[in-house]
Amino acid sequence: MAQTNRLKRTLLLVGALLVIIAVHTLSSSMFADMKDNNAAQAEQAELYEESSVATAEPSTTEESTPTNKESFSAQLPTAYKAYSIKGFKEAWQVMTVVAEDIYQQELAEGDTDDEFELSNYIIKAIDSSDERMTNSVQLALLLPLLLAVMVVIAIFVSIKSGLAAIRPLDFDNDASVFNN
Amino acid sequence: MAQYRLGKRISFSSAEESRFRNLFNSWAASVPEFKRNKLGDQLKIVEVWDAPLYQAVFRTQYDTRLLREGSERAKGRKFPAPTITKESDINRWSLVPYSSSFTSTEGSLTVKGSERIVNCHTCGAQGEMTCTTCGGKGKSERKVDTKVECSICYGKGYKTNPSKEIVSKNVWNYNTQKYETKYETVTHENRSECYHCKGKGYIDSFKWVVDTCQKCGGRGKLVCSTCAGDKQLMKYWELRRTQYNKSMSACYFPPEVSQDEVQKLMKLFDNTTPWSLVERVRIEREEFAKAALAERPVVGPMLSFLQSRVEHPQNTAICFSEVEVCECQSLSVIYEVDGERFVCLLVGPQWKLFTVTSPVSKKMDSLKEKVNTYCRQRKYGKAWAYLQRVNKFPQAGSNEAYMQEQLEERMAGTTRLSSNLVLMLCVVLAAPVLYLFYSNTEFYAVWTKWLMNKWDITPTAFTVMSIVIMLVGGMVANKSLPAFSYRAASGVSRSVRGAMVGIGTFVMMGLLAFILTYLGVTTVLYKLFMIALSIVMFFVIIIVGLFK
Repeated sequence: MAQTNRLKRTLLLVGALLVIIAVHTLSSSMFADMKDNNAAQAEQAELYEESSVATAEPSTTEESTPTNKESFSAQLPTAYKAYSIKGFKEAWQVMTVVAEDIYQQELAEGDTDDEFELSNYIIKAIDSSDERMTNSVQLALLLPLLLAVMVVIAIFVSIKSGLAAIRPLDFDNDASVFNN
Repeated sequence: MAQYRLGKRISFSSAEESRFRNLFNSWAASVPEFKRNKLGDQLKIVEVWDAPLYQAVFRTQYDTRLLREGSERAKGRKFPAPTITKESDINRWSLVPYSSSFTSTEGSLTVKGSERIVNCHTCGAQGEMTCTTCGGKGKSERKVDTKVECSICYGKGYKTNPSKEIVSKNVWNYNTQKYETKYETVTHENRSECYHCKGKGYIDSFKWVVDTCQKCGGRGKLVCSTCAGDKQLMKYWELRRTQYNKSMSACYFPPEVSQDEVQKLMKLFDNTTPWSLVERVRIEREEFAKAALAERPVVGPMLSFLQSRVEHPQNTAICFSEVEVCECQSLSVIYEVDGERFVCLLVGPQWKLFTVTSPVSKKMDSLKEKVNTYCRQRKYGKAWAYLQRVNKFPQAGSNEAYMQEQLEERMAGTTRLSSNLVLMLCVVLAAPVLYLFYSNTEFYAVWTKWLMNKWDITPTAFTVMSIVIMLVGGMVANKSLPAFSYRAASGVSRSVRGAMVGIGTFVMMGLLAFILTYLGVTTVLYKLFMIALSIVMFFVIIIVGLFK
């Protein structure tokens, strides 16, 4: 029964996902068509500089798509290096430098006059739009923490399971005996 | 006296022997786990006894009688002098005859001759009693809400703070034919709401008013509730009677059948068992000795045992008892298999086979012993494997089913642990992919993108929330595992199946997390989580600050 329910739930989720993909693709293509029509109209009605910008836009959009695909597939193999201690140390180094830069900036602008404490600037450094805080750096900071949390949960689950297994069986107050 | 037969040894004719062996073969073949289908042909018949079974039902009718004194309004009635004035004058057992048939009733009756008129004890034969509301005064105080004029503003609801202003105005002077400036003093009242009465002009209050008592109308006295003004009561003795009956039963089996097996066999008898009435004995009151039940052959001890269990509750008499004894034709067959002796019963003219002890039950007992042993060693998988074999026997019942449930729950623990660990491993391996996907994709609903911009939600937040959904959802889903995953004797097999379930759960939860992220539910959850975290941190900071 549980097996059938699980299968049904999985099929339902797959179906929902397919519907979402279909709707999203349809709406994206409709939106893209609308954008093309508006651009074509603007090209006819306006001056030379605006029409050149409008014609330039689709080409940059087309050029950006292969770049995104490349960056994703290029980042994937290196992403798993984030689980290493070396990757974590390097990322921590980068984050510390960014945090110090943010502190210097605040000092220059007069927003603070306290001494630099890394703990106060960690979140700001991670959330900043600094170019040095790339996806791989952020991954390298997040994933070791995730791994540590998983290990703790795994230990807790194992201990709980072990304790449940060694508890004696209770068959009507007469442990593991058939009542004749 | 009825005829009771002791068992006597007989021999099977060849036809009867053949019938018996075929019956036994059919029975052995019907037990899936027992491999000896031709057990009937292989066994050696040692003895055959014509051993009838007897069943006795002992039913007793009881009559409980209690006396109590009652009273009611006299209503002007008159009675002659009572012949019964106290309880000891009444013999409750001779007032009403005992029931002669089985019945269950309850009732009461007045003892004739016990009725008498007495003065009412509540009002002392006055017919009236003091009013409980006013205590006999005839007047009572009650609270009445009133309004009291505000002493600050004197009922106006406002206070004034007058101020004067000198105002100039141009007035035409007819004499001089010019406008002249004239100055007047104007007084402004400057009202402000009275703070005492809040502008109402009065204060809500109450006062006590002395009034005529509503209950007694000022008389201070009420009609006595016990005698209703009669000043007298009728008192009498009442007999409360409860009639009920109880049954007990017992069975007589041939001596080859041990007492342990008797209880099991009793459960197998039903409405189709061909009992025939041998004797019905009625015993009036407690004349058990007269019935001489113990002197009957064969069933005497059984009837004596039942008789000794008849109850004698307080204030209760036994009206009569009825004993019914029935007989069922039966043959008891002692046979030998592999040098060991067993017993079976062939009940009724149709020879319904009851295997009291048999190689089958011996096999089942040995399997049960193995189950118990493995359970004690906490080797639940092995115990379960043997229990599957026990359950194939027709004798297996609800006890075995409950045991199976308990064992499977323990076995599911291994599967669940394996499933949860594999789920966590999959999450760890998929986390980088998730993060990169959320960072590089624009695959969100329109409102989700709007929320992301408004609340500044980053791909890190989506990754963390997706991981939480997968973990929590997966562990909750793993509480009810599919049966195939834990119904395996080997722990390794259960672990492998659990790993497969874990991967399946991961896929399911991953899809769910992805859909929720697209729809923006993850965004909202993340925002709520951050708000909750801020509130908690706020209180933590305050508490830490208090202790510092």
